[in-house]
Amino acid sequence: MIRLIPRTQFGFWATAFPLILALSITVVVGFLVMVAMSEQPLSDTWTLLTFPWQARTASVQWGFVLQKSSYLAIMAVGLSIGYRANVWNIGAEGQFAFGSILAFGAYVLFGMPDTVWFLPVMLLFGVLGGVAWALIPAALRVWANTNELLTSLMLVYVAANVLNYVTTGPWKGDPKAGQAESDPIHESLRIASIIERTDFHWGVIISAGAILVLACVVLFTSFGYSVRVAQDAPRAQKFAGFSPQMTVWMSFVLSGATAGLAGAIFLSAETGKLIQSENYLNGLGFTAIVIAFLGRLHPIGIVAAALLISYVNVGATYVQSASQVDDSVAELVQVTALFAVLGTAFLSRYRVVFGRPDLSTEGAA
Amino acid sequence: MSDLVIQILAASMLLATPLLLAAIGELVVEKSGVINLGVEGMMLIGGLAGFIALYQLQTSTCTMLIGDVCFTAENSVNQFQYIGSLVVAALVGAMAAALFGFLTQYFRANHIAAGLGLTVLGAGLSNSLGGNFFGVDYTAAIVASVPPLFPENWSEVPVLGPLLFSQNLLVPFSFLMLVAVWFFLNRTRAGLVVRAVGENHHSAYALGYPVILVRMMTIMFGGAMAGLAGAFIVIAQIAPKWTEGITVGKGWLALALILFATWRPGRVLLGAYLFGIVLALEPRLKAIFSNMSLEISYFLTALPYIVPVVVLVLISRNPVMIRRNAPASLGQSFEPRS
Amino acid sequence: MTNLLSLERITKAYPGVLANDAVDFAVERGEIHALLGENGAGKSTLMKVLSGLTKPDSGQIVWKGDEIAITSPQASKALGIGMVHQHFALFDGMSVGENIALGLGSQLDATQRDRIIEMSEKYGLPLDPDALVFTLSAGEKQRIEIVRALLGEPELLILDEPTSVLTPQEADALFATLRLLKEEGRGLVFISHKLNEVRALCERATILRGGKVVATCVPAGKTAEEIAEMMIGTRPVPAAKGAQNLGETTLSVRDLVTSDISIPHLAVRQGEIVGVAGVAGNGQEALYAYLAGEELAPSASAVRLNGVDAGRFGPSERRALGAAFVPEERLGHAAVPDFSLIDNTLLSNLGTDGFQKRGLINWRVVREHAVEVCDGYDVRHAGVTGRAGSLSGGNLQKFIVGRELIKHPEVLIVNQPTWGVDMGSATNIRDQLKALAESGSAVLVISQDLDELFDLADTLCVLNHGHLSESRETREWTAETLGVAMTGNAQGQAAA
Repeated sequence: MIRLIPRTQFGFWATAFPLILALSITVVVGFLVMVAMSEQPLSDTWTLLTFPWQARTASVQWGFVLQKSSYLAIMAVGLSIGYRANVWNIGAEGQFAFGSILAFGAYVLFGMPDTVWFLPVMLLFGVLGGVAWALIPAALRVWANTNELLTSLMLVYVAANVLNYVTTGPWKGDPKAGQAESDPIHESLRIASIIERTDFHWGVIISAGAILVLACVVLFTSFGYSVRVAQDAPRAQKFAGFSPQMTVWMSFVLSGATAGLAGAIFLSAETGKLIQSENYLNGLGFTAIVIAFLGRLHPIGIVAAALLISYVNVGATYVQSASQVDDSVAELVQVTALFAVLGTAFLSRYRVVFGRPDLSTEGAA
Repeated sequence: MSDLVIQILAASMLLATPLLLAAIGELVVEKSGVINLGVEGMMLIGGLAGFIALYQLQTSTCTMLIGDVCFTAENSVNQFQYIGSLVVAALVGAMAAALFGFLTQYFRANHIAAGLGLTVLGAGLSNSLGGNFFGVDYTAAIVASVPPLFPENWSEVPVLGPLLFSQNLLVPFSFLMLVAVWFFLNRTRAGLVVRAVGENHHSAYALGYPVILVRMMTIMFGGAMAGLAGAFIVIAQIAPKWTEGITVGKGWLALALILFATWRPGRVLLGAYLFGIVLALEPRLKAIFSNMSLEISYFLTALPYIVPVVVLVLISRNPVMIRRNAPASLGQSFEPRS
Repeated sequence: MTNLLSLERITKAYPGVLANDAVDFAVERGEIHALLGENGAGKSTLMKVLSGLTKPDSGQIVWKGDEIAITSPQASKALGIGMVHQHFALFDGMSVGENIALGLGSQLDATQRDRIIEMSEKYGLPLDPDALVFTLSAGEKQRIEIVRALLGEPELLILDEPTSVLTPQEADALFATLRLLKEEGRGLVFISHKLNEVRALCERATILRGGKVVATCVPAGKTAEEIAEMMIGTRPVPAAKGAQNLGETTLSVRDLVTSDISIPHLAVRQGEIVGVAGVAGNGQEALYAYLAGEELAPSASAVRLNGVDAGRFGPSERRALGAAFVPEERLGHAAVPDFSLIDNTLLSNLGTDGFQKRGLINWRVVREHAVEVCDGYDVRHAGVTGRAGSLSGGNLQKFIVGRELIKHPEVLIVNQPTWGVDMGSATNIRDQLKALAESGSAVLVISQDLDELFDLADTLCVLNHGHLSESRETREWTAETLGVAMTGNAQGQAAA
């Protein structure tokens, strides 16, 4: 008989062992997925693992990886704060959209300035947009006791409709385009690449800075501390004098801000214009949730997970173009990793013991 | 005008049925204290599985096969083939749910993370398998339509014709399941145990009930129902056709529906049809009022997602109602106290 | 007449505690037998043995003349032993009938309903099978438990603290039911602290102290004082402690009346230790919560700290006024079990000078502080980065108390300072509390341990049914008067 005994000490192995196990499971299952989906699994797996060096220019591939992971990491770090405190914002996709919309709105509102100095204003409005959209479920949770998980999710679809409205209505651009879209913003407001002809742009640096700030909030401020207390011992949160409502507000503000910032950067760096939701929103906000859990809700883990998953994602796209393996292999690897991490997390709290329980030594009342 | 009403009602039945099926399943899951956010994923996997099964069953009776297109003697699918494909959809949905069940019940994974993971898995798996499953590209596969349950000329009967007689097997089935689930939860001993497990798993365990086993069963039932809901969307809502991400958020709407209904089967029905009518009205209103302003038009499109939020706010103000119907240990992992 | 049940020399040891030490206990048919003892005397262990939750290390269980072993709760039920627990195992969102059906493992159908109604009428336990449990009073909830136990046709019914949550009227109704059950020839075990009730109701009483049977008596033949003394033991005459060099009142409560507590007046002066005695579950948690600011008082003036109306302040604001708090529950309330000692040091020090600089936590200072607490208060640990949950109870309590004492608070509120703590640590903690008071701070100690209160307190009052009595100097109290005040019903206490 197998039993689980709660650990008394959280040592290095309590954290490392489940992660190593999860990684091993992911590698094995990931390879099996490859076997199922590919004609020549060995060489395709090799391509997936080493694609930057196989591609014509490695820096382009690395640019893709960094760019993608920066969006995922910043949103996931923002979301993880609330998740630690059992505040479930799963509407980052909507806050991302609203961040983009408000950033573009600021551009229109201020008369489409053609100067790079306006870029910070756009990013700021992106942040405000994300926060504003996130405050709706926060307010409903605090004032009306409404389940924030479902409201934040429903608002994703509402935000998508707002995006569709502005791209077909007030900010409608070229009617001959094959999709509803706005006019492009001025070239001066496009975030520039750091390395020529790659996606490694200043937005990645801005995200990295924001992640650093948030990591400091989590690790070095009393708010971050209160969130950790809330996760492990809600009563101790009261003892320390923290307000649970404040936790809800702050969680939504921070996660909305990061998603909004990501949305504004995306607008400036990737598309340069708003596009109808089907072609603009690509599930980054949902993937970020997976990344948050993959990183065990810790800033360092999240950054590592975002890099890893982006690497596999970009690699899968490369493999698809090189040898006709469907790029959904990336999603499957991602889910395998998530399930492996979730399925092994309990090992950091429990020791597995084999043998029958000894009734007489079970703890005193 | 009354024709239009009937037309809208018939259309809303088509749109409401998958919501109803998925929500009935998830209702039982949540009544046992588990929240599975993977409904959308299970619908996609189940729907694709049902479609593949239907394609395979039908091509096995093909008289002529040109490319991936199949021509049968009757040029339609018969009821048994349809039922066979539904069984496959339900089984595959239940298997997907079992994965979630093992993670959350035996490995004590967070329900929300595991549920979201299941949705990502469903999307990824259905995208890759739909494009190529043992050499067949199902996005291009064509399958004949499922016949209605009743003889075709019955559909010309006024009112009842389009509303009842031209509907698909799953429509009456969804009503049947609703009644069955209501009866199960409120009138049987097993249903009582399910509710007890969801209400207070520690007390249920102390009284000797197998909490984890009960939850595994409800989770798999929920998966089977989600699989059927997916199969309905893929096979019966318009014509059998597989496209990537075909459920477009219906799984999430089913989840909202349960909160809307405060975990009561009767209100799930009401809610599903309310949402169905809103979904059915939207394109028609746009067609009638072609000069409708863009704002109103998009507001109508967003309405199915705004209504649940408003309703949630309204019902959350009534704590007694929530307390009476909401499973108190919803979403909590069960760890026996020693 | 043979005994229905007899336990012979039951011994059960837990690590560090001998919970039952050769306990003999017997119940006859048609008898209500009281089992008395302070918390930790070994009553609940004995009940766990009977309900099949725990196996004794040695000793015999004889049921209707046959020696048997009780291996599981189901086996206990099958024998004919019914339990009514102090903490209800009920499903709040479900109806009364459904709760009963679940307990019996049956479906709620018409016959079942009839049986419930029949049973509840027969024994004077009015219940509406359709009522929802969360709408019921504690007394009604208890009736569900009793009916649920009775429908299993038990020959022996054990009631654990059945009156602790009841109003006097509800308690009287319960006694009528119990007498009826006795007349039917069932055996009843009545576990209680309330001596007046025991004297009125029970034929015999077995008194446990420290895991041993100290006496078996006919309670009606003894006074409440005599029984209280047997439960509590004879005590050394309290040292002539008392009011010397007391300063101004720095903590006071006036007319704090809420749904769960009523405190007409309470004052603690500088240099004074005030003790609040009482049996567990009589409002200690609520008293602590209102004083610590975890619950806000109805009005600001209900709680005054250092001359400021603080009733509407939260814990942080009260700490800023010089107060410090030690709650009862160590793990999950006073400390986060999965946090290191460093992390836990911060828990009550968020407003302390030097811990935060420009909004950022200065972890170096926190760490130094943690080390200081551990060194200064004899906390034996494997390192300040170790989990709080891995410390022994005594060491963790020394850490938690030390974390507050090192701040030298002007007002300290402590709930159960040495509950479940080893002797050495307990002595250490008490010495520290005395030293704090001597240095001029006001200290309020809520405790169930009378020895502790006699040792520590200058002034004592009693919490019973959520009502706080007048305080009197400790030397004016005796073990007997205190025992009566703690165990009497609300009216009896008013008379005392």
